[in-house]
Amino acid sequence: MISTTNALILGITAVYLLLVVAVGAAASRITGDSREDFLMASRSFGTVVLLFALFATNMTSVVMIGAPGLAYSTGVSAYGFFVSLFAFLFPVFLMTFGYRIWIVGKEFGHITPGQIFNHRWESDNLGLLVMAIFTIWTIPYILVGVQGGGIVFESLTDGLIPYWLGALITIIVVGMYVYPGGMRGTGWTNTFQGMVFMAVLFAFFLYVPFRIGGFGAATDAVAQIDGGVFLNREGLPPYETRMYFSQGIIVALGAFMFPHLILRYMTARSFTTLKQTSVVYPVAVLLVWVPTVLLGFWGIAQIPNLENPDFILPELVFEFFPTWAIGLALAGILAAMMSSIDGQVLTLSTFFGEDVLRKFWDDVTDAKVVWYTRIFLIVIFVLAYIGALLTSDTVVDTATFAFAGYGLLFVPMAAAFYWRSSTKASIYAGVIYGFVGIWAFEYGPLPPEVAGFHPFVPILVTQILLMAVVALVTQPPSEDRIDEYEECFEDVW
Amino acid sequence: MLKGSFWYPNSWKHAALFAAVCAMVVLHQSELVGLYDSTTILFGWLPAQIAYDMAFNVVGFGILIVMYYLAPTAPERYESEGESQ
Repeated sequence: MISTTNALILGITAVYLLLVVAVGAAASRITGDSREDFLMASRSFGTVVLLFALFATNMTSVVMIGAPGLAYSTGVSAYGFFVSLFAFLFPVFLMTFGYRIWIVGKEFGHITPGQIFNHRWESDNLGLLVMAIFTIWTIPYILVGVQGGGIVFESLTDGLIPYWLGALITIIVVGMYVYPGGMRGTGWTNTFQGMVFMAVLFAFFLYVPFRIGGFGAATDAVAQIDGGVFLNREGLPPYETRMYFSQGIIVALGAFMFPHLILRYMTARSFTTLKQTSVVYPVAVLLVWVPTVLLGFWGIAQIPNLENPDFILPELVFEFFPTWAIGLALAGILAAMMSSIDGQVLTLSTFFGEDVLRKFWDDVTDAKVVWYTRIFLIVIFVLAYIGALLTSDTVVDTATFAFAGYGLLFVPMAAAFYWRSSTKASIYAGVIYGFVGIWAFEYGPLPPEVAGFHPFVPILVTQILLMAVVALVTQPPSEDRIDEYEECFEDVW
Repeated sequence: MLKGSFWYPNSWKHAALFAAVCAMVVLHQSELVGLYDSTTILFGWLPAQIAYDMAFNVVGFGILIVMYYLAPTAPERYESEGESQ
């Protein structure tokens, strides 16, 4: 028997999910069967849609669950540790490096990073390697999003919707707008869902401390614990200077190299759009991350001794919100989850269509690429669902590992745009070295830190040195190809 | 490719902007302003550590606005094509 409480929560959630599907359906009506339109929305995103397409995809699964969880474990420095440097460097990269990515997408019709690698260094298979590595780093990130959907459904319906069913609902709803709407479907729903989750988050931020007795009372309660240990970085190993620096660099480089974001840089309508998005980006990050970190921070005193810190936000909602609002909260948290999963899944499908089908199947038509891309979407959804039933990692741990993996593709990709004498062999060396290196530190015999730095930093430095040495002794691509790129970048940052 | 890019500035304005970006990477470390072990709470509820990080991003926002205006104009063929859609 369903209680009135659960019926209300589920009713509000169902209405929200139907709205998301309706927005996706509206996008799909103007999405054609051409590959350029389905995969890239005809490179037509304006500032608002591009901002939310980047922001909602980039932030959400980590921000709604991971950020409060990190603050709950380690205190208020979670903001500076994870996101403040990223919030500044990401837009700097977008206005410079991202602009060059956008230009070569326009100039040569590239859609995927693999196509850029193959074209820039006149290679047949370098792009396939890059695609495989991007895919390997993306899969666990998708799983975390699906897993998060299952967790919040089970947690906020008090077990009425079990984990397996919550994860399944999440996957099906995302599938219903990504399958027909492609990139435009994700862009439009990201805009809608980004606004919803920001509104819900602000409601959390104002209402939870109101119930505790005000902002001052909420902070004071945490400040009393162990002499204010959660107010600063002292005594917390991740927040020591070198590790703090490492994390800032990992997130800044890694998040910029998210494959689903690289595709979206190329969907911008113009450079002006990219610039406007860049300027607004740190403000958007600040508006979202500060509330989530403070909520996790305040939760330390309100709900102590949680076994899994990732549950702190749902637990706060359940503890302090009236029943009707829990449905809205669930909708807001699901908005966060779904707007990450959609872009990631569409990107992997795009890679399959562009880097495998079009690369190795000579007479494939655009319509067939789109059709097979859609089939591949379904395959990934099924695999993601199975994976979500099996995985048990926390959001921040998974995110940091994946960020480090993406971040070690930063220099090889930047070489395409800034390093004239880079060679195909040097890029192979850099890509493989970075991939093997980070796995060796994570699971191999190498130590978990080097002179206080996260292994990412020494791997990044030695990766650059290795690439420089290999570039000196191997053959660059033809002068014609280098000149083609150089001409694109005249008077361009 | 690198020369003339943002990362290899060729004018004093661009050099100053590049220096500001590099300075921000250093200023990310809150211990430079004595906040590593601070238990100060501002306005009765905001820990100084996160207040600093927020201010860091506000300054970053200012630098990005300057970048916005100093960035070279996009080549006409790209910008006009995009705006016409």
